[in-house]
Amino acid sequence: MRVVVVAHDPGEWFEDSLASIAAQDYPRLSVSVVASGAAGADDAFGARVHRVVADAEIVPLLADRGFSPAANAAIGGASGAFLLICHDDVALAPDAVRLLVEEAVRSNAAVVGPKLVDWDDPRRILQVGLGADKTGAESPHAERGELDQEQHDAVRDVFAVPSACMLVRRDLFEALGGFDEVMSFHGEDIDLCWRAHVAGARVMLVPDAVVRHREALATRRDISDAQRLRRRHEVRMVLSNYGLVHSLMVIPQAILFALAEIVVACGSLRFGRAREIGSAWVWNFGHFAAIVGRRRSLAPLRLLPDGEVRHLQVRGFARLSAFFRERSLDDLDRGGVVERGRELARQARSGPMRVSLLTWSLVLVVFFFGSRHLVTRGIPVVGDLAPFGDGLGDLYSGWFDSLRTTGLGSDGWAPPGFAVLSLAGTFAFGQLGLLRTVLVLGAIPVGGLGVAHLLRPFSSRAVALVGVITYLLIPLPYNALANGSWTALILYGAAPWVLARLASAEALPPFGLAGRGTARGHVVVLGLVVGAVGALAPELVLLVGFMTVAMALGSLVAGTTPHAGRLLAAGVGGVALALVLELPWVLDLIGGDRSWTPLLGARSTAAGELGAGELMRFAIGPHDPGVAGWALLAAASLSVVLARDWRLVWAVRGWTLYVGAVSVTWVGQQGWFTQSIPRAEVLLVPGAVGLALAVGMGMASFQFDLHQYGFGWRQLIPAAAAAALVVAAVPVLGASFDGRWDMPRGDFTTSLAGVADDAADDSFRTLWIGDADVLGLGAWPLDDETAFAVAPGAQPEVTARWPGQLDDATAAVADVLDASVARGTDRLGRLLAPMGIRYVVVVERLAPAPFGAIERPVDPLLVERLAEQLDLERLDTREGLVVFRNAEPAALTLAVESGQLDGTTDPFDANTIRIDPDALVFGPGADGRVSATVGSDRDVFVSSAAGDWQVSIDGASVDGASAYGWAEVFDTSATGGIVDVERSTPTSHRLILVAQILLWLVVAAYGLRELARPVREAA
Amino acid sequence: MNALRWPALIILPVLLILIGVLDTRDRDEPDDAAAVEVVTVPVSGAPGDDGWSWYCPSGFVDPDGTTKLVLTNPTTSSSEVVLTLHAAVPNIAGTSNAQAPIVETLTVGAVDSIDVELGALATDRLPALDGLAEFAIAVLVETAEPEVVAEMVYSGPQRYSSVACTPSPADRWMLAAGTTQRGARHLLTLFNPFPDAAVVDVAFATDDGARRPDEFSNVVVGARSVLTLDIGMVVTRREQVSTTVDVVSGRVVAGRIETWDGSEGLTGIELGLAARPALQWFFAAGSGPEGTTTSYVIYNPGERVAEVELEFQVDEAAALPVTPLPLTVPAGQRVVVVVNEGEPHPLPESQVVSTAERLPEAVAHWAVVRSFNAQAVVVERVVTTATETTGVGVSTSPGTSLGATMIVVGNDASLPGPVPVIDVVNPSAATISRISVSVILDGEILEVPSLSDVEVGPRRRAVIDLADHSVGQAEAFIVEATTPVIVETVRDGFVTRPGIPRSDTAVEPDLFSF
Repeated sequence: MRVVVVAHDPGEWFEDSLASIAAQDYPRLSVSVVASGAAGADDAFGARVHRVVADAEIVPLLADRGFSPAANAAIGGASGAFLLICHDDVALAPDAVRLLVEEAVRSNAAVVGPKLVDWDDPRRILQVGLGADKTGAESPHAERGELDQEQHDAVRDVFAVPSACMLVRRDLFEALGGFDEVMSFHGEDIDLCWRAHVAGARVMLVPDAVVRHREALATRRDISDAQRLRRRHEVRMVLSNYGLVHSLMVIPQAILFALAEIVVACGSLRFGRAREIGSAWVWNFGHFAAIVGRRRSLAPLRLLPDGEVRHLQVRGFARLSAFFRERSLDDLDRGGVVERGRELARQARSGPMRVSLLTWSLVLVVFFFGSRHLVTRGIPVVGDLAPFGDGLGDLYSGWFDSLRTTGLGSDGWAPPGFAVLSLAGTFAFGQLGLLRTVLVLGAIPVGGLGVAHLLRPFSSRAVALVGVITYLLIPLPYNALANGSWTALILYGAAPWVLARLASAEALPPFGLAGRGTARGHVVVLGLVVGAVGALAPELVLLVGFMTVAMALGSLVAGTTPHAGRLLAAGVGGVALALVLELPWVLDLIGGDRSWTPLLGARSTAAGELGAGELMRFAIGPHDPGVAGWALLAAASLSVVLARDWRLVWAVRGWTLYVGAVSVTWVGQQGWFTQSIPRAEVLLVPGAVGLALAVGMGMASFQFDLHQYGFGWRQLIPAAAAAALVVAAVPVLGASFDGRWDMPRGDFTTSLAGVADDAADDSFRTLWIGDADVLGLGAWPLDDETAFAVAPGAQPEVTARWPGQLDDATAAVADVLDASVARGTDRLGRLLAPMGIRYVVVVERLAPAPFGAIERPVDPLLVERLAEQLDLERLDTREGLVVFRNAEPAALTLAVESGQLDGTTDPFDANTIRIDPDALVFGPGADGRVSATVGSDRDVFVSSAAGDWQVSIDGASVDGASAYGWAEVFDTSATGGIVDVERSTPTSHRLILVAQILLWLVVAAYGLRELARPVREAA
Repeated sequence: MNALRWPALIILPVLLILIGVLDTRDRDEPDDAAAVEVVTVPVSGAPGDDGWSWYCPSGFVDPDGTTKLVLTNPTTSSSEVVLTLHAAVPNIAGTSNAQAPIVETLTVGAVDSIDVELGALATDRLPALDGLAEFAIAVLVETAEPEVVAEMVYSGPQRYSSVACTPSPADRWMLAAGTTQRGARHLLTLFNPFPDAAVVDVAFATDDGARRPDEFSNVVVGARSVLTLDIGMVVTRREQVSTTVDVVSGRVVAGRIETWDGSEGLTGIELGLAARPALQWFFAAGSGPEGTTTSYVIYNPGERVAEVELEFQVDEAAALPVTPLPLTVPAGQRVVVVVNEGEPHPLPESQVVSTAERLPEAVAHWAVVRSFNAQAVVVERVVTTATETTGVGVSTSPGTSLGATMIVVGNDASLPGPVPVIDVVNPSAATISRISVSVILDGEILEVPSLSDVEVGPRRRAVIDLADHSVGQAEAFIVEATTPVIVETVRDGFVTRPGIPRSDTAVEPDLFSF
């Protein structure tokens, strides 16, 4: 038996501890004392040990790497069947070792542990073994400080025993490689025991063996990182100790739970806690190679199935249970539930915390009250708030397939939004409707949190709070909701975070004082944010550029010099990295007609309806705060009048962002841009952040600058600003009463489903025409005012949100439309039929009348000409939606009369060589395949401009030929039979996507490591 | 960090104020009810168009005659033409029973004019029609060559009427003239060639004011069919009935078939095409000659009063100008202006204005009706004349609102009687127009040397009697002009046939050119 005592600059109790070991009634004990910390190089330490245990071996460690490496160092080369590992602050009862050994032998246990009691009051229990849940979170079996009434005195299997004192079978310990040396402190015991379980060993508690524990680590080492280390090690255990199957089952749950914890932590203003949770995952992904190594080393030892191991774990989530029991590990760390509760109560009663809690509570109540119908009844399909589709599989297949279904089909790379939504959908367990609600509504609180994050370096809870309130009082997000602009909401949520990262990179005060990370780190993090968020809203690229320039200009206006190099490096570098991360798709954008449409949209370049006053008040939708809208500007003016030093600089920068955003939007409203630009809701987002920043600086100036002025008119300004904020809150409070922020109560889904009984079918296309603001799909310009989109099915879906460049085939749709308007044809349906276009939908309102505030009538001549087409059947719908059904056979796959399409070279050939009216329409296959029985006199026409189609008849492949200059026709007329139509994605395409994923992971790991970098000390 | 306050206090507010000051643009709500210019007047396609469609709603077959479709191809390329013929059999309920459509593809040779006997085609292909006393026919004509012109001509031993087809459907149609007097039968034809059913409301203006009979509300016109409504069964015994067809959903083309049985003096048949309101209507043929009775029915289908003028321009340069006749047409009402009043003539009891004091009899003239308060109107001219054999014949002409530099005028050379007269009006106030007339004959376009460069002064009319130029056997005439002109042919002094402008040369003459 070898006793290993890991000593770390022990206090006066150490002799007692050693004496307790020397007094054991178990024979043949040899003692090794590992001296780490300052003791390692101290000869006096050896003398101190030998005074108590004369034959003790001293193992000096020059480097202090924590408990686990120290313990492992002492055990190397040890003899004996068992090892007793002890901290230097435990005192063993005289029979403790004997009892432990006896039970280990009797029960054939590999790891046994004693009952740990309080050093000073042995009647108080500290630990009786350890439980842990599936995420490795610790779950104690006894209440800390619980009076020992022998209630835990049964010998039993436990998941783990504390490393304060544990008896371990030496051969197992060696086989397991000892403690994980990365786990310097906290969690190493659970990990060792977990791996022991995996190896088929038993871990037991022997309560008769009593050990007093002083828990004196805090007196010798800063334990402020305890939570961070504990979280980090828990994740390490989860990632490495489970087998493949249970890894796949548990890791997503652990991530989700971590996300939930982060949200809760942020909501309770415990941003440090949120950072600890996030950084734990980041750190582990950054050390993924070590994780893989651990898995490999554990693999040959696996004897016990994970299912059995999990039976030993606490069910559910230990922290969740603790939360509901009003207890948590933190409580334990910080002195118990009661004490923690008292502390919280004290904080809550104190001024800033109380105001903060009350305000956040009010904000959340108002937000959820105002959103209640959207949450319970769903978000209508208006504007670009398209549904996320039928299932996760569609998103994943859209991501990995090379077939682009927008337009008339093309070969290309999936927009990165597919990847983001696929992954997000996975974490939402495929609940795409819920995910949509979260991503749409969640943008508003995320934006608020972003402003809190942005203003955190200003070292004032009040500044952050005022900034957040201002940001949430700005009508922009509510108008974005009402106007159906998901893009604006996404940017509203992301902009403060991006600005904060730019500010950190620039490192102007106060960010220079509290900033962290390297310049490269800022670029990487910004690139990741722009890449991920920009995948959903590519306009973010513009936003970053705008904010970078506005910040630099703001500094100049304030008469200071910006750190332009750092700022530009971060802005440009971040955008460049984002483009690299989205490379395959970005390459597709360079092709086609090389227009800016994929980035800037196909909006009308004509003058808009919004006036300067409306833009300044963000009254760009049904939420017009009226006079109250000017109140926020009044509040923001406080900062420019009162602020000094860096507060003035940031106030001016905020104002510059605001004035710049309003100016650009106003110029757009004048119709002075020749290129389509994003809608007002999007362009004004930087203005909203700027205004919040300026108001926040007003609060900062009130706190730090006002007292420097003599008594006078300036003292009235804060009161006026506070009153202005109250006034500005009234419209938002009022708007919350309808429970949907004035979003339309009806949408096109219902209307379309009402007229198109095959609306859910995807075996045909729909041509959408209308103003880009109400169209709901990524579109291309038809003329200066109208856009068009072509997408599968008759319902808009998010997958058609990113249209890519307009290719020649899809441009033909616009050509035939133009021809019909110019009276070039009265048989538009005949021309659209080969394109698979079964419906032509003209959208003239945000939502069918009487819903929706936005009306965007298209050129009446266009509608008139469509109505005059002899083969378009107009269907009855509500005002704002004009739907025509093509009377000609239109589908993505058709069996047509043999030889009918031979010689067609142009889309307009359909005018004379029309699709056979008796063409067999291939319906959607239940298994995703398109198949039909075709007669011997039929060819198969595939309406797609994409290549790589394979058509086989009774298993025999058939060659294709060009039809109408863009599609393909396959000669199946020889025999007839069962025709299968398939399309395969080249392996190289998928390999490149895998490479892209790996690139993302590498960059994300690096970026997350940067995020986890500790805050630099203030200069 | 030393920051400056004053630049921000100056620059940023100034920028905002500047934006506010410059933001003076008129922000009136856009007029989302902007009128759509619908090409409903008969115009042919232009070179470069991918084909053309004609909607011919008013064919009729009865024991006294039949309707033929006249297709004139003035180009040097032959053209494939697809006819979709829809027949409807009037029933005793005042409506009709639609028949299955017939599709016929044929070719019109280059520089050629062909007739398609619609009655025969229908009875051949639809046995159900065989033996029926009467049925209405509507035809959708789709031509590969856009300049091919389609017209319908009803002809029988004692009856003749021609009507142009329209190249476009619309959601509102008006017929200014019409009668349900004793001995007359007034069928409104509603042609829906589209794949979706149409619903229409039909309203009338009579001496009793506006009428919206329930029987003609929400009338369903089936997809790809023609429907006839016997107006006389609901609006009984009215000398003049103006009709408005409002399309509630879908699109239709409206026409009129009027027959007179001679019991009250009037006899014959008249095919009509409904029109859309316009601010200006030209009648190049003017009023009927001496011995005829002419009236102009001016119908205001709008919701406000129309202030219009009827002006006669006499051909004789030396003659004193005729003072325009100012008229106020109440909303939803019509005014009938009578020229050369005689009997019988379908005149209402009220809202009749005579021009006897202004326009001397037997003075050759042409006429124009203009609205000066932007309230568009529909105008038709009704001419009745007594013939030696068949009684008093009726001819109704819609006039035209477009001038053009290239116009095709059909000719029915097989008809007995004198060859027609071509009236060409130059509506310009200041520009002389030089016109050339050529003829389509035996697959060729022949220039008429004597008509190769005829000058037509501003606001003047050229009257070309084809008998003087030996081209009466032509299948059609082509009038080309240096400036837009209005062309109409007159046969027998009162049977008129408007020229069909080519769309790319057609313009609306300036309203204030006079």
